[in-house]
Amino acid sequence: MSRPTDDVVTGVVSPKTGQRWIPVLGIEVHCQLKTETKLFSQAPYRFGAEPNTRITAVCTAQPGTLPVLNEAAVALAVRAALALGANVANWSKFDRKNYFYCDLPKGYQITQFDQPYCTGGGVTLPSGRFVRLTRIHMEEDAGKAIHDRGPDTLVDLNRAGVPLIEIVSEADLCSAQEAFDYLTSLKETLQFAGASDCDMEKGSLRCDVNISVHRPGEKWGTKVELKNLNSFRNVMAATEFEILRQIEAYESGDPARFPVQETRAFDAGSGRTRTMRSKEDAHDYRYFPEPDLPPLYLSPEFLQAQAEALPESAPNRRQRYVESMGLSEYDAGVLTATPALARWFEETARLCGSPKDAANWISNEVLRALSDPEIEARSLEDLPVGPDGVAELITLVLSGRVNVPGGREVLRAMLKTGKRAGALLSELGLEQVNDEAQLEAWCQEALVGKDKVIADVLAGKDKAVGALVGPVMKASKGKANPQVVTEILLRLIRSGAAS
Amino acid sequence: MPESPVPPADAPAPDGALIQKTASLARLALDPSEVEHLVPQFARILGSFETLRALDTTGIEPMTRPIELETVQRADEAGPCLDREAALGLAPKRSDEFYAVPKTLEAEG
Amino acid sequence: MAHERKDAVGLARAIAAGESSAEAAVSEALERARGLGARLACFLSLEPDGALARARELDRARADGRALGPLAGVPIAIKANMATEGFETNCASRILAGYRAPYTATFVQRLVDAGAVPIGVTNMDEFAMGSSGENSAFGPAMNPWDETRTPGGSSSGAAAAVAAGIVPIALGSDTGGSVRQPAAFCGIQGFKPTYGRVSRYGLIAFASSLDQVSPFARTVRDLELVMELMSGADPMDSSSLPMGPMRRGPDTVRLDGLRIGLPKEYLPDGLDGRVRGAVEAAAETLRSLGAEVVEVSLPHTDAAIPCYYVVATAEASSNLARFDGVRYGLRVDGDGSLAGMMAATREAGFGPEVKRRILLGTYVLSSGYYDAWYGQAMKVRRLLRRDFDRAFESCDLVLGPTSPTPAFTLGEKTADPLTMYLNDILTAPASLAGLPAISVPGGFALENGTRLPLGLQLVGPPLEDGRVLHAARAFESATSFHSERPPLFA
Repeated sequence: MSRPTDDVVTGVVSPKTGQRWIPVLGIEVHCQLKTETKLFSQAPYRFGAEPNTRITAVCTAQPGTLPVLNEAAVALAVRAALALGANVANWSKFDRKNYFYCDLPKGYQITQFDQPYCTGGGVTLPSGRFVRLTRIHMEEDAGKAIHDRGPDTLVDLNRAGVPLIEIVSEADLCSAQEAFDYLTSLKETLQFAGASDCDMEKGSLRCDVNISVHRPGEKWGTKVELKNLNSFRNVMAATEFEILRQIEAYESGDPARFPVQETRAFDAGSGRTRTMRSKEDAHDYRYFPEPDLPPLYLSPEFLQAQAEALPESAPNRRQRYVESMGLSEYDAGVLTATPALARWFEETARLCGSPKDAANWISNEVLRALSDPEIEARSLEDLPVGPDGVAELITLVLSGRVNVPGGREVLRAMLKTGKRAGALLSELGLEQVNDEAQLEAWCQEALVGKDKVIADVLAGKDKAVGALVGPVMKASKGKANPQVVTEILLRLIRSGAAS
Repeated sequence: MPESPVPPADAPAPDGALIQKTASLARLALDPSEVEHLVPQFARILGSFETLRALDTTGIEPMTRPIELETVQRADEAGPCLDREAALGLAPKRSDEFYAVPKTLEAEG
Repeated sequence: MAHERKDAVGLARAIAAGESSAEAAVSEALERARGLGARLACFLSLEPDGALARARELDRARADGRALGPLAGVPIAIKANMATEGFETNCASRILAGYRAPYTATFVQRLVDAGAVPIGVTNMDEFAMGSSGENSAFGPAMNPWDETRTPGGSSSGAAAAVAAGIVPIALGSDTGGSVRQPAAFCGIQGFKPTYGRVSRYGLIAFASSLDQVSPFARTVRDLELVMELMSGADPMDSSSLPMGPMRRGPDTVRLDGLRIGLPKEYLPDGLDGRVRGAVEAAAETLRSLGAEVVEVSLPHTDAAIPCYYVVATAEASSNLARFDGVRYGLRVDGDGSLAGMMAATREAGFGPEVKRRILLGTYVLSSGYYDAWYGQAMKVRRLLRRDFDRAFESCDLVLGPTSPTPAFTLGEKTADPLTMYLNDILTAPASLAGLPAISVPGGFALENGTRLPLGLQLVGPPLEDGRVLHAARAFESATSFHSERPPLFA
């Protein structure tokens, strides 16, 4: 496996000259591990906490403090690596990356330099292309510097020390779309491995893109690093802009305009990239082995246990939903949008015994409720009803205690109030009428004067009876079972009881 | 870390520019008289350290720490946080609930 | 009551027996600290209120019949690079002047839990960088045997305070000899444990892979007690050894069967004859105790100083990066930019030796020089350790001088940093190798009519802390150097 050769890459056609250019992209992703406390300190991190309240002597680098590694961070980092098919080293070590900045309390970041815990692995794009990973390493996050409030730069150290993994891809990507696809697949994998929330808005996923362009078959161009990419959409936009900027620079023929090795920031407002830091300002990070932390040993037994504890991946779940649960590809896709949704669905399916019905009710009703202004919850976790409640409702529908429209009404009420389906059924008076005599009476009424329908049915057009189901349902105030009503109507017509 | 088995014996003698560059990496605003003093001191110290570089260390593993251990890991359990007032009270300058530093625009690292 | 004549074990026993009280012991120590201590510049700050309150609490506990710890009521001194909540932990540096630690070091807490009463913070070379105490931003401490001389360094104030009978126990830190050399210069016991024996949590780092909290005392049994209380794994320090407290050696003061190695490299031709004489006499004493003396070789000793100064300064350049004017300590605004503020703060806050070492350490780690200096030093470090491993195949302990000379005069070596660095030649090897080592009083040298103590060093294999202390205790029992008091003691 390797990067596709230039002759098979579509590339980008220069709008000016019509020439084909080959973009070369590599991506570095920083992903926050879903732990309770920080990588080396016992401070419990929460996004959005009051500034400087999630700090200890360790994460504020009080003199004399020392780091101690969080075992949950290690386990999650390993799970992420295993989910990405990477090799986890039995021995790895931590290093110091030295630089000064106001959000870096110790004046160095503890990271892994030349012996990361993980190498290799990769991500399969929807196109089927495999993008190789160079390595994954663990490191601690810096704090937050706020520049737009008052005359000073303000520093909040809540985030300082939060556990991250940095996932570095090979320069295997060939377009902005591939960059987007790569990130989408990577995020899904990390989320389903339970390693990270991957929420860009909360900063738990961040990415930098390295870009160069060259003419087919020629030497690769100078690499530029893009930062400040705070959504996948921005990655696409920034990458597209930067590719064209570099092509134009080369095509100008003026070496003074050629891309230089630098870091550029993306400004989402203007859709442009601008220089942040040129190579001349490049840091000399003076990496050296962290003397405060002996090497990390991950035993084969530990790695085996983590592999066994690894939750099922999204693609595997989709395949299982289609193949053994009989769901459509579409529903399987919808229900694996997030690990939480997949878990919700599987639990509901298990409790009601019908995966297809569970899929229908969840994808049609439950998910719709999350965007319903009358229902407060905006995520599954916020809903007052769990899979057991929905499963109970589905069971009531399947057993004929309430019809489908009535069931929808009950579910809406459940999602608003959190009450159980059974209670709401009687509260709302939606219990399905199964009394044959009553149903027959309503049907007889509906047949009065409907000679055309009767004739059609007798001529073999059973579907014609559909026109009469509505009035019967209306007469029953929605509580009749439409299927039973249809059966009764047909029987009455065929037996000549209708007139 | 990339490794060159034989250290370069012809490293440039420390001069003012090297001291200045190193001081800038180390965030030390040395004044010119200090630099002037440091150049011969550096030359003398590093010169006397040549005994170190003269040793043949082919095939010798670097020794980062005196005792070989594997790192311990702690449970992912929250401990007590510093009181914000106490922490910010140690700072030379604060602004409301933040540490305050001279305005800077670009992040580093 | 002459508490100052008692060692910690004796004092604790007297207090436990009701012959004295914690309050009396602590008051007397404070009084001597204010008098003799001030004259010798031993302390940077005293904490009389807290110390006396704690002493009274212990006395009440005794009166109530509650169990007392083995150090109950014993006044101790803490070096200025050790976090003790509320104490000014300034590392004798302007950059941390006024900094009061918001937490307490594990090793301090363990001694406090055993009843020890910290009375104040001792003077030192700034950030423990120095061999004479003269790099203190607040002025040097003086040697109680001769006030014109250095007590050694970097734990200058701590050694002087114990030698002057102010406290029976003071905690120092030893990175390349910072406890053993001052112990030698001041005629007391100073023990550097195996690296990792004592937690470093709360010890402000100079060189993380070398630093060890190391106690001073006037008797070996005091060191043994302090080590038993202070050592053992600490969940807050990943480099602390995963084992329980140190176990002391046998009670006997015989050393039958023990093989003492004399490394020829520690006794070069040009060595001060008085120092050589003390080592030879000590070998004889040890023989009389049943030990066998053999010659050994530590062939890479010459490389120890450059190796030590590369490793230690590299780590220091990174460890001291946190002093940036943002979260604590000094701030100098500089040119108004963030980088300018940091550079101006560090320029004004650090003294010349600290700056020199930060520069040296930054240089040996920087791009293009790493392999030649830092990388090479880490390999030579292994060679130094192998020297010891091989030596310990034919001996159980290594004996040598602690320092090539007795205490030198203040100002004698400040002009040339390299001369000062060379003073560590006999102590740096055991630090690089992480080995337990003690300096014991081993004789006196007459210098212009003044008697100056000489120290002898015993180095043991890794984890053999108990063996080192046992041999030192046997040597102590057969000699009287440790019981001699400097003229200022009275």
